Amino acid sequence: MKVLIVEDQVELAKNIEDYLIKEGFQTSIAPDFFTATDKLAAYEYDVVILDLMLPDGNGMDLLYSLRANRKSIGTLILSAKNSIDDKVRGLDAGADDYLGKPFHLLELASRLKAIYRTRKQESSNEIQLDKILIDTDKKEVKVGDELLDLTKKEYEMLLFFANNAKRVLTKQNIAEHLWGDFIDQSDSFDFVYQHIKNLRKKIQKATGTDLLETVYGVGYKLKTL
Amino acid sequence: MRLITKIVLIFLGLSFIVFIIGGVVTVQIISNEVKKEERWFLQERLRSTEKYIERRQPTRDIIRDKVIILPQQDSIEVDNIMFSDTIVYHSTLERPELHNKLEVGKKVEGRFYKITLYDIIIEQDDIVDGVIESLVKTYLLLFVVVLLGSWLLSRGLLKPFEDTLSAIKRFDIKENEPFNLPKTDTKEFKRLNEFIHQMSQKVMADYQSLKEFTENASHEIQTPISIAKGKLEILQNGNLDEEQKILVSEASKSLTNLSKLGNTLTLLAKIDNQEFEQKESVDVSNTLEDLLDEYEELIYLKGINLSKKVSEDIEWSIHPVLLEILITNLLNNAIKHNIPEGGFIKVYLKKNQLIIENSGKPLNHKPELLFARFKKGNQSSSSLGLGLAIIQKICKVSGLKINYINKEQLHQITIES
Repeated sequence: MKVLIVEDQVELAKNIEDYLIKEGFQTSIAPDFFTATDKLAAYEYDVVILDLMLPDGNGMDLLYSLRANRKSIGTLILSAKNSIDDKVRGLDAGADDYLGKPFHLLELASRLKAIYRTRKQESSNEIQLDKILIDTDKKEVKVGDELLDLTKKEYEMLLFFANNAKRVLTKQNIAEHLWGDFIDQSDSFDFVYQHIKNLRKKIQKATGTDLLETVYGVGYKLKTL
Repeated sequence: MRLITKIVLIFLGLSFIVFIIGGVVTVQIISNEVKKEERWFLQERLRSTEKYIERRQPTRDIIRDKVIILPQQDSIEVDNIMFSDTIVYHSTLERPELHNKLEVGKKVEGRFYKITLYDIIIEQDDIVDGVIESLVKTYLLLFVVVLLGSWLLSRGLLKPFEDTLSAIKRFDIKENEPFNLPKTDTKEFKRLNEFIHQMSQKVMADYQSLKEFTENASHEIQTPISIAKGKLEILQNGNLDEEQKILVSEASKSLTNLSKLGNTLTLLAKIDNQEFEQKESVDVSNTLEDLLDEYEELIYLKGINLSKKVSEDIEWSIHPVLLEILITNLLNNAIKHNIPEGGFIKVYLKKNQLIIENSGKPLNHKPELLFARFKKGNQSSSSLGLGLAIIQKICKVSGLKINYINKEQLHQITIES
């Protein structure tokens, strides 16, 4: 997957790039509006990560022109203007997703993969995890032919693990991914443990193997099978 | 009291004093003039009296009304006319009056006479009466003219001032439009308008820069936090031992708190700046159901029992974003301050009432303090203590009434539209 990172903060862009390269993405950085337009004209990208506040222009304008001319490119807005109405405006303008700063890199990676999957529907909208098949189109999880009955949040959590297969996810990561703005940071995220326990039980019952691994003191990880 | 009334009253008071002094002066002047005339008149009479003496050459005293002729045996000083005042009984008025008196010695046909003449043309009190009457009438005229004039003038003269006042009243700092002040040729109002214009420009510029600062500060803070968080995350996925991983995870959590604090304060500032002013009719039932949906599993996982009674198609006039933030904060609050096991949350939505009830520890401070910024039930908790401040602010700008009741383990917040 080829990703263009439009972000004027060099440090942050480098951070994102480092992380995404490790995740197996191909990346390119555009620190301003002009470079971004230039690169978009010259190369093909699958997803553009777009910061709204650029030194020489507004990311929103870039979004409008992308939506008008290059419909196949996925877009994710990255902005410090982290209020709900900005989010709504960004999504209304045709962005695929919106992430407010600061964010977790694994959250970003997870969302990029989700955008990529929806955009490239013909290729893969299914993820295989051991015996489990996640259908991101129908939002269903199957073991063999059997449907695995998961709650909405359990499904999202499983997908989050699948999208970050090699990473350790902290309780905070999971809580923020599942509830986003709704979650209060002051909470101890003990209820995440409950969630994980339920998900583990359901998977183990269906497949006979435990898919998740506890990393003591930090969080959880998908088992390398 | 209106300025013009004050000016008129002061003017009338001053003119009253001037009129009194003027009256005294006028009486004085007229009296002097009359006295001068009387003296001329008496000298005129003196000549005819001399002619009378020449004809008659009296040897005895002649005492008549207003004339006394006393023949003298010895020689006396002659032609020494002396004027003085005297009080004589006035025959027609039948009372003593102040008369002008002329005394002189005369030598007529070799004889000496002492002649005394006195008369009066206008009495002193007539002069006073006349002056008072004319001045009172003039004063009344002045009074009426000034009142009428001030009433008519105040509309024209003070109109620029009234216009300026209403322009100030209409001024809205958020609209970022300079004052539209009326033109005037009165120097004072010109200065006032100039001053107000300059001041408004400065206030607007300050407001703008403060607003920009708040927005930029929030933006600029989020970016370094993002960078720091990113680095921590990369660190977390590296080769760290358990203890180090926990440290990194805690640092990351604190950073998230910091960022959340910035966002929340920006939100409060935005609400303060009335950036969410425009209201629309929002389906509260839908919003509430959607948010409860988001929370349902979370509430369940925390061992809290959720019961709800939500009437359908209930619409309130409020900014949709504010409504969402309001309900989110209320639910968060109800979850956060619930008791660990066996707690409950009850949500009711009726036509103009949203009630959220939850179990929780009894309050350890006054309920009024609950809505203060950074006030926390438990000071050691890492909660920001801004949730209820936001709830209250949203209610205030949206014209909603908020009521809080605490009975031991029961907390109830009612929002009324």
